[in-house]
Formats: sequence, C-alpha cells, structure tokens
Amino acid sequence: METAEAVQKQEAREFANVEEMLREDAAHVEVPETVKTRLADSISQEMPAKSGSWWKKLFGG
Amino acid sequence: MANEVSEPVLEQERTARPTLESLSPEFAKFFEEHSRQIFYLCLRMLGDQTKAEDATHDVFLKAWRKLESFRGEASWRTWIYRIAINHCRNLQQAWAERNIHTAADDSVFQNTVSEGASPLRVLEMKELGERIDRALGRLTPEYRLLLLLVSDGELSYEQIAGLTEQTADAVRGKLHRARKAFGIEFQKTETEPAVKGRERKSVS
Repeated sequence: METAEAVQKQEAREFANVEEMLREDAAHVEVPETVKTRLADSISQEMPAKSGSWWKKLFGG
Repeated sequence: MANEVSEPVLEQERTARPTLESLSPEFAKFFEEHSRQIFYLCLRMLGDQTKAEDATHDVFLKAWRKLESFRGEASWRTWIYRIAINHCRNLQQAWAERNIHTAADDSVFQNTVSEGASPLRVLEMKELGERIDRALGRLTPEYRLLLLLVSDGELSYEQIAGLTEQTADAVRGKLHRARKAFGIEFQKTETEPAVKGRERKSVS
C-alpha cells in the first residue's frame, strides 16, 4: 500500500518553462458536454433563419 | 401532481434534441478540433468554470453565425481564437467597469527575477490548475493572453502578433517579461493557502 508521501513523490513534476506547464494543464481540461449540447440547441434554433429559404420552399414565396 | 403531468413532455423534448453532428457534421468536427483550446483560453482568461462554459458556447455560436464571412486568409485556429479573444475582452471590460482593481506595477516583475529562471516545480499535480489560475490571474490581461496563446503550440509568433495587434518582436519581448512574471507569481502560490476565486487584474 502506497503512503501519502510516496504518492506525492510520484506526482511531483518539474516543468522546463511556462508553456510546458500550461500545455499540461490544458491537456487535463475537458470541455463539459453541456457546452456542446447547448450549442446544438442554439444552432438548431437559428438554422431556419440561417438557411433563409425554408419558408420560401414551404410557402412558395 | 404537476410533475406527473409535465414529465412526458420533458422526456419528449429530451429525445427530440438535435446533436451538433446531426445539424452540421463539418461544424461538429470544427468544434471537436478547437473547443478544448478555446475552453481553456476562456477558463484561464476569465478564471471561472461557469463563465468559461458560457463563453465557449457563445464563441462557437458567433463562429457559426460568421461562417460565411470566413475567407480563408487566416487559419481556422486563429479565426476562432480572434472571436474568443474579443469575446473575453468584452466580458472583462464590462466587469472592469463595475469593479475596481488595484493594478500592480509591471516593473516589479521585470526587476526581480534573474534571466535564468528556475524550473517550475509542482508537487501536487491535482493542484496545478488552481495554482496556474491564481498566478495567471495576477498578471496583466495582456501577459496572461500571450502566455496562453504561445502555450497552444500551434501558433507562430507572427500569428500571435496578428491576434494581439502588435509586431512579432513586441510579442517576443512581452513574452519574455510575462514568463518571468508568471514564474514569480507561481512560486508564491506554493506557500499560499488555496483560495476560492481569483484575485484579478483588470483590463488595462
């Protein structure tokens, strides 16, 4: 069984520069699935307006 | 009673929800390719998970609305970054107008660290994000942005210069000072107790 100290040692890490550290940080960040779901909802509400011609097709305008 | 009546409607709404893939496979691919970096930029620029989620949603929605205006002069990456940077700046500007912050003198950073800054050491990886957030939050918004952009790894100095409206030489000089400033602030976070929320520098 690993002690808390051993775990801490395993997790210790040195970064050569800021960029390397930020890249490591970014790699552990996940975009919440709700962002994508909300985006799909928002886009679906705009799609008829964006395509512009759905109502023309429907009503022959 | 009210729950019993509304439940079937909610279930119907849930199952009828469109996915990004079903709406536009191309845009879904675009989202998959760039959303992590955009979310990360928003998260570290704004210092708040919920605000970063909202901002990421808004940035991609703006991108969707502006798709037709993309002329291919920039890469998709720089194009979406530009939208995100403007969005975050607008949010920060609005917050700055409502809050008063004390801006530290940048010369402090320039004069207190030697050229050969020591490597950045982290004992607890699980605390990395929180410490980075605190350190970044104490930098000027410009330094913060430059560090985040250069850490992407896909942007050249010229592209970063274009995104931040300055010369590549100016970017190099500022990045040099930003790295030193970050090093100082990050080291301070090692001995500080963890705090909720971020001390922030306002828009300059």
